Amino acid sequence: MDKNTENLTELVTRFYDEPEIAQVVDEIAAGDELLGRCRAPEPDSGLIAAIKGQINARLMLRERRIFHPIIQRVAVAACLMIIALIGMKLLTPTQPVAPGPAMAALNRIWADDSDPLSEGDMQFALLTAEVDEIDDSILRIRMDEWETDSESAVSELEMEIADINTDFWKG
Amino acid sequence: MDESDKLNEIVAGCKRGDSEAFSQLLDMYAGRCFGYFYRLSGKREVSNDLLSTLFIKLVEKFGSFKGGSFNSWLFTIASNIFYDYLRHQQRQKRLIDGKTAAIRSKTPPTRADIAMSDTLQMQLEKLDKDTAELLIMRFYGQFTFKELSKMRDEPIGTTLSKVHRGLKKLRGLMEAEKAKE
Repeated sequence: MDKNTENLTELVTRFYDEPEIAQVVDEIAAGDELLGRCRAPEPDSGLIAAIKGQINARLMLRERRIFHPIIQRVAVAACLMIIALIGMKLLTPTQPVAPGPAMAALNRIWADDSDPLSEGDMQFALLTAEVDEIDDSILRIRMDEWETDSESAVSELEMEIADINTDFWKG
Repeated sequence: MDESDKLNEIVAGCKRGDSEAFSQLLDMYAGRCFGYFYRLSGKREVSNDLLSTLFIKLVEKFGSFKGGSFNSWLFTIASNIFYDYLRHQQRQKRLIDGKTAAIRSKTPPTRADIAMSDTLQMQLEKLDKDTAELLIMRFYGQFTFKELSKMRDEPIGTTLSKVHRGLKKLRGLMEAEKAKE
């Protein structure tokens, strides 16, 4: 309720005696009418537009003040999550599969071609294979299964073994 | 939709920080608040500044409005802003050299000064400050006596009596001024 809708007579009756009531009500009404006639100037439309602009700027600033910390917190939380995931990936102990001796040897041989140790292992494997082949040949000769001249074959084998030995120690 | 529902809707929009609602609120109250400041200060430039200050302050303070009469809340802030302005003026005045202040106080108002202010303004200045503010607050804030007494923290009979005497005196002063012309 504003002053235009309040019951002035009823209010005045509570505080003034009977002969004064009508006079007080009239005097208040006349005073209001006087103020109504002499209205204050209205604000310029330019001023209103400027205030609206200032209000919008303030609202945007306030919105930024509200959302900026939220965005910051979300960004920090995301960074922490990424760091935690990377950390978990790096620090979680992986279950190593214990390789058997043969697998270990094979792994060692094929692990890295440029590794000088692996290269040595490879040569060792080749040499072993050749020695095995020669042993097999000697055995066949001794059992008379070799179809060549046995004397020359033995000496040929011995020369071959001597060559291989020399090559091996050359590296 | 009546005015009260419309105001409630606008107030709810302002609470959400809706710029359109603030714009509507400004359209609704700019005239009355400007009139309130103008009648208290008598200066258009000052009223412009105070009106801007009021609505900028509203943006920041709207969260503290807990319901009840929005009109009372708005004009209480307006009143505080005006008294802050007065205090600031008084501080500035104290800084001015005493002699200059004395000369100024003796200088009669210029034609320009008079032109800036209308007759009602001049008569309002002849009333005591409390009565003048009460009349201006009631007229521009459109307050009931009950609301006014609550805002001023005084019995309703006292408020009624002050308004009655103030309006009667103002009318007398205006009629006397008219008779001089």
